[in-house]
Amino acid sequence: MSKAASRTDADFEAFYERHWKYVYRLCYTYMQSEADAEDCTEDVFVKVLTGDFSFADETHERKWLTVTAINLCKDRLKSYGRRNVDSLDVEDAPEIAAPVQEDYSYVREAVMALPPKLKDVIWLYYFDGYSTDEIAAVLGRPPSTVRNQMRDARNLLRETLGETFLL
Amino acid sequence: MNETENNRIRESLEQIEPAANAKERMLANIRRKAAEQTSENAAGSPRGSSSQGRIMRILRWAVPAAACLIIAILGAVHFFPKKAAPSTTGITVTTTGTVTPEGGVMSYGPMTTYSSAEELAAAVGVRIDAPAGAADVSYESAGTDFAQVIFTYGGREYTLRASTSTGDFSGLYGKESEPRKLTGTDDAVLTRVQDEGTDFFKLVWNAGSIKTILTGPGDTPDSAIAEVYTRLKAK
Repeated sequence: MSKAASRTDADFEAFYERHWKYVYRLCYTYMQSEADAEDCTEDVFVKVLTGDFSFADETHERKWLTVTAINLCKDRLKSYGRRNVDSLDVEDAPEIAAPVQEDYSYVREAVMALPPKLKDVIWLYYFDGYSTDEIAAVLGRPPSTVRNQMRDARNLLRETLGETFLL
Repeated sequence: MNETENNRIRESLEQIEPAANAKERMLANIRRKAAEQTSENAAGSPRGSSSQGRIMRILRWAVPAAACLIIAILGAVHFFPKKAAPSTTGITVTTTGTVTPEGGVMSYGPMTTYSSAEELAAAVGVRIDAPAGAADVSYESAGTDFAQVIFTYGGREYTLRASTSTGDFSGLYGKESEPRKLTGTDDAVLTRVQDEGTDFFKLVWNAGSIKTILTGPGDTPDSAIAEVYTRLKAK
């Protein structure tokens, strides 16, 4: 997508059409409420609409949106003082029983309960399919840090999801 | 995690569906917010730009915040006296950690960050530190399960963990090579691990009742690993 000055309404609407659901899902994973997820999604696209930058291709668009949405959600959570989503106390984590049907809401709940910095890597690895080195480049973290965080996140998920998620 | 479980995570996230009409509603709000922002920027701050007014607004919250901080610091100093520093002669244990059965990788809870090796040792009861010459050092613990130090040395990032546990607290899962003694070390055992398509090395050694595990990128040559090991032992 081109810079703001040369961007048309149609350009922006096409951009929005390509990415709105992805950004919403990402924001919902952090904010855990429809209203907050919509609010954050809107603010991400407002930055696009009012900012003066352009994207080389769709991959660039997606990376920019991912990092912007993650940072925006984390800032919003901090300002809300929602400490209960900043850390997962394994001992207090509720027992989540695997359901009979193929409904993965129990998996989603476990992912959404992860601390924000671990949620980043899980989202980028499992949803976007990035490698750990690519995640490191997107988030600006050392690759080994990303590998450590993946390790920690998987451990927490195993603790929460129990037998269904053991190797 | 295997392929099926990878898919479950992705599918679970794809099952997040926005409310009906969310797409159109958000687009309308985006346009409205962008227009508001643009007109605010053009008109200046709605609250006026007087520097004196700005200073008063800052003072209105800064003074009470500073007072609360001072009270909190005084309270902490009064109610939490300094603990005695643990021994600095090698690795020491001041409290016992968890003991887990042999075999199987341990799972553990959230990590806590500390500002120094001393703070980490005081919290966990196991003292470890980065080797001399290391950079970007961070100190963490997983409860009292293990102490962790992450550092950069020779252009590579390493993770060092130590615990009184006898289990595998490396956090690495996957296919392991045949363990072998690493040349240039006393008794450290080296394994190469492939965890979800990413290669690691894992070096394990014991010092008394403390088990220590060093992990890092899989392409680290034996000589570099041995050098880090030697520098750690010299600490």
